[in-house]
Amino acid sequence: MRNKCSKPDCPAPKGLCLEHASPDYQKCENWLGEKTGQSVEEQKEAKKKVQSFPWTGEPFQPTDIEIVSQRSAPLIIGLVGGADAGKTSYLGMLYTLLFNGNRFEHWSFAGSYTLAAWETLSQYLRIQPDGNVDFAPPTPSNPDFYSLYHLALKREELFRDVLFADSSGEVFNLWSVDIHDPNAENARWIYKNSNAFIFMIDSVALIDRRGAAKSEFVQMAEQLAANLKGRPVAVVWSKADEIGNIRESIKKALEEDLSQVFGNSKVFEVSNFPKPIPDTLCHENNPAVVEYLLEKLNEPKITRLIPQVSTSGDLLFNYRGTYDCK
Amino acid sequence: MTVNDSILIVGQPASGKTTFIAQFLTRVKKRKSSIKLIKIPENIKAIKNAIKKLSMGEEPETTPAGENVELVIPINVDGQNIDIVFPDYGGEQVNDLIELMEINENWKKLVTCSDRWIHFIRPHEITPEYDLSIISYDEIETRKSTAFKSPGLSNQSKFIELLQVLLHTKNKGVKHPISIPKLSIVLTCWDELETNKKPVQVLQEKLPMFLHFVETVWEKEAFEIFGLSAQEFPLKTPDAKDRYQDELPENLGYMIDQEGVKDKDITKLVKIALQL
Repeated sequence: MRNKCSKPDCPAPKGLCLEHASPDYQKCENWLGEKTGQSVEEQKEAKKKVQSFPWTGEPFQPTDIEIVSQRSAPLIIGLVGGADAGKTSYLGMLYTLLFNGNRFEHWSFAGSYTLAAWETLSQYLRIQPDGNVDFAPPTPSNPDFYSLYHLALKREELFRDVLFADSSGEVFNLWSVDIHDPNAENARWIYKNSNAFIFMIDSVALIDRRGAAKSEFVQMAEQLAANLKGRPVAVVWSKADEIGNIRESIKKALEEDLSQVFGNSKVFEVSNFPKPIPDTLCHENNPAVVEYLLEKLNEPKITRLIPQVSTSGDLLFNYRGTYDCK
Repeated sequence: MTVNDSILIVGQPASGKTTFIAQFLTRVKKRKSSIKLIKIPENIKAIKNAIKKLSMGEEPETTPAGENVELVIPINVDGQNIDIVFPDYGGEQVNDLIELMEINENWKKLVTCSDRWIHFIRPHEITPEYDLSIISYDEIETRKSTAFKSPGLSNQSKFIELLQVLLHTKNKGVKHPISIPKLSIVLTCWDELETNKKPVQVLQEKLPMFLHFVETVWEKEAFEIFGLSAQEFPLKTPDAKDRYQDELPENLGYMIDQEGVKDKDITKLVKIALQL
């Protein structure tokens, strides 16, 4: 509602006040502010006293990470996969499962600063009044599109802010061919900043496009493995309710290639199309992917201490303290 | 750490805050409570209409959106004198907190000065969402959406977001289990549910992720879940209205404790909230 004069028959022209005989119409007691009947001056004063929260509920952008980095070192899990591999739907199902009471085995839900964003994802998995399900449209492929979804998780005394980085499959296709592609900036950001990865293999693409799809997946996997530096990867076969329809030769060859590329990375099969409830592919494997990566990320790191060997000939620099000498 | 006795009741519009406060005051005034009223409140503007409506056998009206009235009730609980401050406000103000994601000075003061929060939730109004995680896929047709959806927040997410913004305002982090503020979750209009379940079971059914959040973030001893029917039954039929006028509001209403046991003394809810 816009501000206006509450006196219905006030003949003063716009911008002037009859009561005050001047342009100070905002000081007139008949001038109403929004809803509450406050004057403009009071509204301005009230606005000054309003404090905004640092988060909005929408997906985080990279600059928003500082909202959570002040309390813990956030873990970024990058979702890597081709177009239509089911990355966004995977996240939608993960939240939907939590929403409906499913829990991680070891981690508890301690809130989220991107609730509105999660709700938008889960909305696509809802049954519409006509009995159909409208899956999420493709994620925008412009190179500066970032979508980070936040979950705060706890395991006893351990607290983690986890950010899931989603991006379009087209961008990852470009990146897998040329990591310096100018249109793959967000894929580069995800690769550089993620602590762990979910690598999605689209089962339906392997059924439809067989060898061509396999070769794209292997290319992307090799690019992902090129500079991992020990960061864990969960290999996830999406739409796995169809996995039995992939030609055996294609599936076996891809499994061998992935095993060579990623070594001991754990392999999961997930689906958003549950058979009678509870369904392992949907209800157990979806959260198990995140649980696996969190376990990997929280494993104690082996630190190798390198003894410092003195190279100086100067006695002062070689002095190492008196120890037991008194 | 000492806990102050200021209680903040939060709840969405029509969650039953004003009805409870009106029934609470009527009962302590009539000495139908284990809590004693020390003196009549100086200003009962916040609940005057609700008391009048109930005595006429009518449903109290929701508090107007812009309304902010403070009701101070001086009571004696187990020998201890306490001023209970019930801020009465339009429930829309709570919606604004999570839709606009901003807080004004008045609310900031209410939140920071209160160490006991009572969160009113009306579970009957929360209907389940049917999605692919709870329905077998066999009979579902799928298609690609052509547009980005932007749904409003579900009730469950709204309740989580509300506690998150209140905790942020009070400068309480979630890394360590919270002992202050104490949290009482009150499932209102219990009679609408027609159930024999315990309050925690109803919350698990209706809002499982919200319960999960509370159990993770709060210390086990710092929160409780109750059922409450401040009116006892809806006042929609002439018979119900007659009965209300005959039996009088102060004799009607009940609460359900954590074990699912019914208690006619709804003022115990405040007593238990103060004992947390």
